[in-house]
Amino acid sequence: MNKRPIPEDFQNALDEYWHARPPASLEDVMALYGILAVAESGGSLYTTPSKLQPFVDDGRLVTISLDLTGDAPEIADLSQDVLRKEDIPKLGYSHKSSGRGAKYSLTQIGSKNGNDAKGVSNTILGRIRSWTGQDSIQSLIGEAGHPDGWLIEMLAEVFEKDSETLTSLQSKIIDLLPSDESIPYVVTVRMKLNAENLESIDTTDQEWFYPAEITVLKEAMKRYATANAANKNIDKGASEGQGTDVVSGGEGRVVGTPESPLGIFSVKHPDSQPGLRKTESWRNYPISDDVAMLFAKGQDLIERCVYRNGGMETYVLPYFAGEMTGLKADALYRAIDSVDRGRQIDESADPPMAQVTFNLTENENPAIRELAKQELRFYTISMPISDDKNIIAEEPAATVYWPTELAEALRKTIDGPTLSPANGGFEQFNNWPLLTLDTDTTRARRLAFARITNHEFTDAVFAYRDEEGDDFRRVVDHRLLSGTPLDVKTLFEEYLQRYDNASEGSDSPPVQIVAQQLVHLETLSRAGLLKGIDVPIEHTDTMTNTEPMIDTSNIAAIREHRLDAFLDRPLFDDKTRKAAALAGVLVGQISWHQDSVRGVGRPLDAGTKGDQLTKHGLENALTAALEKAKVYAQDSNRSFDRDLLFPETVDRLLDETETMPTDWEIDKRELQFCYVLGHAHGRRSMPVAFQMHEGDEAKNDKTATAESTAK
Amino acid sequence: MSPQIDADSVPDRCLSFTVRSSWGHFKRVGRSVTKQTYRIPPRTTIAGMLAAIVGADRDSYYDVFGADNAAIAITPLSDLRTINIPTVGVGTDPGQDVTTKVGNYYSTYNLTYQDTTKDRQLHAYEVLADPAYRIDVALEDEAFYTDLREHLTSGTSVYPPSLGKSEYLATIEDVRSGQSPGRIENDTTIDVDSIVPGSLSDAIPQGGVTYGIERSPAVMEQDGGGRRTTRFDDYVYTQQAENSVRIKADADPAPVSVGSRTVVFR
Repeated sequence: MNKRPIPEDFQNALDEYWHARPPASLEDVMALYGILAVAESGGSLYTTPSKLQPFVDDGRLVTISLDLTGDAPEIADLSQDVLRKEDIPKLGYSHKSSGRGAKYSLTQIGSKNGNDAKGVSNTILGRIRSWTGQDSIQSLIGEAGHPDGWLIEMLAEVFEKDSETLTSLQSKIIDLLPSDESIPYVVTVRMKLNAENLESIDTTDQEWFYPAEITVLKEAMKRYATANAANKNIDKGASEGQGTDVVSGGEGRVVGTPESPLGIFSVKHPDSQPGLRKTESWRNYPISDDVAMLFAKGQDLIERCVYRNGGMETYVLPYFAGEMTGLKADALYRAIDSVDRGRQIDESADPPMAQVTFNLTENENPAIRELAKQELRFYTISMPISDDKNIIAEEPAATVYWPTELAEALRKTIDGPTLSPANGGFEQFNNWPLLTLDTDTTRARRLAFARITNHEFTDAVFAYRDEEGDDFRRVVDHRLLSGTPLDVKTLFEEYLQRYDNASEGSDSPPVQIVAQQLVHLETLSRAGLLKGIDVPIEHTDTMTNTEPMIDTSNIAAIREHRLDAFLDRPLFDDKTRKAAALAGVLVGQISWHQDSVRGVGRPLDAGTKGDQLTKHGLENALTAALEKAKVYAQDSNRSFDRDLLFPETVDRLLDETETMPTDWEIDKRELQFCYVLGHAHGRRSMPVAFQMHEGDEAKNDKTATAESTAK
Repeated sequence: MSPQIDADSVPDRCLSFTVRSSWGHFKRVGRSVTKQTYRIPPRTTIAGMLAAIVGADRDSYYDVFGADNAAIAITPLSDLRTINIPTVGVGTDPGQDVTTKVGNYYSTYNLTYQDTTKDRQLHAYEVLADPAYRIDVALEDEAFYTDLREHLTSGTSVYPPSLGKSEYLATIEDVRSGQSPGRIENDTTIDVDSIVPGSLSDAIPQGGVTYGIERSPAVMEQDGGGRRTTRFDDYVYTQQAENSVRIKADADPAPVSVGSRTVVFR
């Protein structure tokens, strides 16, 4: 019973409860998960045979035999025996795990730790009485009920409080069972019936029946088990009617307050739902008993597919877009079952979506790999973790195509010139999610996929958000999952706000912030998910990332080479953008010089923060930088400082533009981003040159640099 | 004479028009705690909108838009973009925020109204931004169809049409009457501009095209004191208006051309 289900088990459950359509809505996916759970728990939607497992062999089965063929019910026999495995199917036991009182089936159980005779006669018999008295079960009695409703009425009579039959049963139990020993008990009722009087029974040659053999008792169990689905949060009455089930499309009894695993459906707050009449909810949201039960059953599997991080929860529910089969259901179940919520990959959280994806796309079974390629979809929903439910983004059919493309684009970007100092790029850094991956290509792709699906890709570069309210970063994640390009203006705005978030006082943020943003922008461009800009961000030629030949014996030559390589990107084909970047480079270089050579307390860039930069401010900073480049050069005795500090930058700046920034035509955020990019390069231009330098000319400077880089 | 609709839901004639608004909200079933919208107006919503134009009473028009006697095709003309808009509202809970106390103890009348002195509550609505849809519709009910055509062509309506909520007033543009849908014969694949009833697995993947899928109410009937849905439809759509849904020519849906567009009626 506790063995792992096999494809046949899933096929049986699908045959029993699944409609023929492929999943098309959240409800479909929830019902599908319910079916997976049914197969997992032994194949039945309502009965729960596995819950009797602890009673088998160690516990006792007490059977109350009632003769219901006469005018009045009679107790024919009372017996007890060891509970055997083969007894279980006829008992039709249905477990209720929450709350106290009667279980859903007529068959009731006592405590797993055992009851004495008194306990059985009071508590367990009391549960049978409570069962017959449930409103949902009583609803089967009478004209609007079940044709065999009288059977329930008769049972209620037998177990009625203080009735003759009950009193005599109680004393018989006391006589029969040991009074000083605690044994786990299961109590059931066996009934002698005239088959021809009952619609609930097909056979005619049988006299005695167990609960699992009588349809009206099974119907009663269903009603009781799903009672909550019709009256949850309704004080008086219930929301139920005849209608078309939204999931199966079948006609029949529907209920209007089904379990909502994500907490997004409820009739609890009429104040926030204008015009809501609680007992009419079944008209808008008609759910059959079976489907309501499936929703409830699927909850555990849904919970395995949620990723919680930063006050947000993201549900990523995998399914297959085609017709469901036992084999597909089996593969899906195994993929979800394999999710380890705490798993990490290289210190990044490995979210359920990545785990499920790789379980299927790299499955040892080629049929499943192909299936994953063709049909794997995710129903994704993000919301803040709160009782006040608010879905901020939802995508019904996300594929692995876009995250896979992005992961590969990220890998290529990190491997490319943008993070190669010799090619004018920034450096790779550990512990910065967008600045390093594994050196092994397969592992790098896997890690990149995890970082894209665990929010790090967006969180690394966007502005910080308060924990409460809508988090735009999650909206962005969903857009990327569905292949919606992001506008470059939105990105610049976010980048510069993050730049501000990461700044401390007058200090610029660490270079890694800007480097990650460039990697982010380039990755989006490479994956085709960037819009609003006329050029690609990545290099257009198939530039191989080989170490170029540089004269590493000369600091000025290294700097010049790196500057040229840095500027050699499509983004800077535009003269104004290039000029803005060069202005940033010069301000960065002069500021470094002030910081580490002249010991100036408040370097130039302290007053020229990128996120607050205006054209006017840049003009002032640039004028000051040009002036200082001359003045400082006169004071310097180092061979690589000529009559002008950083002549390569000044030369190129003058080549690019004859006008000053106040005359430039460029969007504010674009100007700022180009400036901070240049500044980040310029600030590190000398330190990186020292690192690459192989002559012995400036040993002392190297030591000085090590100190200034460390800060 | 009114249009005739065949077994594949293809009419021999139809009316076409564009409906457009700044915002749209088509509340999804199965979501009550959150206020989310379908990307495509449900077939029942289109029925309600058309009933508003001709001034049909509540609960009176469901039979006109039945499964067999009405055919509707919906083609998104704008990218399906949503945003979440926070709104503040006065509560409507009869137990809390509504009062009937007016006048004094001896009054022979009472009034039910919202207590507007209470704090407003914040609710986020997911809305479609700048939605526009091309609707092709054929109805076998002659009187209704004639009424509808006259209202549409003369630019009038009894109740103002809106996209989901009354405050999202809609404009109706570019009305064409007497369009005759023509069957499309093709041996391999067909690119459909409208939404396509069916499942994701029926849509052929195309590079750079993201398909979405929804299931929403399609047909209703009057029942007791209210109405109930008797059919829900699955349909596939694309996020971008310029993309189309590619299906196999021998698939179940019956694509037809209406003017320059390829659509599927249901």
